[in-house]
Amino acid sequence: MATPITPTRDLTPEEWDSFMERVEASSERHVTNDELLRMERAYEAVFKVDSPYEEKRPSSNSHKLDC
Amino acid sequence: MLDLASCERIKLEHLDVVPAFSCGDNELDEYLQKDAIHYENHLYASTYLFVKGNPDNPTVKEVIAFYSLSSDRVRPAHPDSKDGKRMHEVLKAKNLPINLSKLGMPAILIGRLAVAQVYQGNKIGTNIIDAIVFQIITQTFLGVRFILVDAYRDKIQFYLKNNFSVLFPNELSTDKELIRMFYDLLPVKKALISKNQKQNGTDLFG
Repeated sequence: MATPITPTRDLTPEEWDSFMERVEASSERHVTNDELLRMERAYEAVFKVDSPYEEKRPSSNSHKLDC
Repeated sequence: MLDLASCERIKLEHLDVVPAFSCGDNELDEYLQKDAIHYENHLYASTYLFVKGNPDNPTVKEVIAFYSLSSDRVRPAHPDSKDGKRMHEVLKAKNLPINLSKLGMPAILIGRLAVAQVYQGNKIGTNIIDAIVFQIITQTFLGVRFILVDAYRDKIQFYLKNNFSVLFPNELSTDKELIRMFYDLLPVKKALISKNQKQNGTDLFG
């Protein structure tokens, strides 16, 4: 049997403090429209569905990935 | 490459195709070949396979990648424990909701993610992560703040590049094989809301 998948252990106060500080910093990360579009295209291509937020693009090449 | 494969939740019929999967890591191969169906049937983790057919022989299928998801949370020590009581004081001092110490923050754990060796180097892992992020933000009916992942040490750089951070930095100096990392979904949610609100003339986060 491979190493089991286990839930995350509880954080000690010091770990929680450090985690919250890093989360505060990461929550300010600026996600560009290009990043959003890349994720949207990946979602459409991977799951073969149309995005609920899809901007109507001229040619529906949206299920194709750049890879 | 993923656009040529179908994403299928693992079921008994897949047991014919998973033995051929090889990602170069025995643990991950073994998980898919032996354990994934049991995790699925006991509702511990859902495993999704990317299955590609052979154009010359439609009956021949191969798995090019897979991932497993479970629910999780990031939570400070139990409120009744010694650490939990200290945490209560920390949260109170910071004016943060005390119930964080009981409930924690909701997360989804990518317990395993692997790409078959012959298909590696095609951004398949990054595409899967992007797709999962977008799916959680737009489709999941639950509140989820973080994606967590167990990263092998040689894959930490890959996850850092994909905006994950190490959850327990002190574990980096231990001999632990798997390092838990987290991805904060809030910036993506904010960006998506902002983009849509701007199109409508308002901005909830602005």
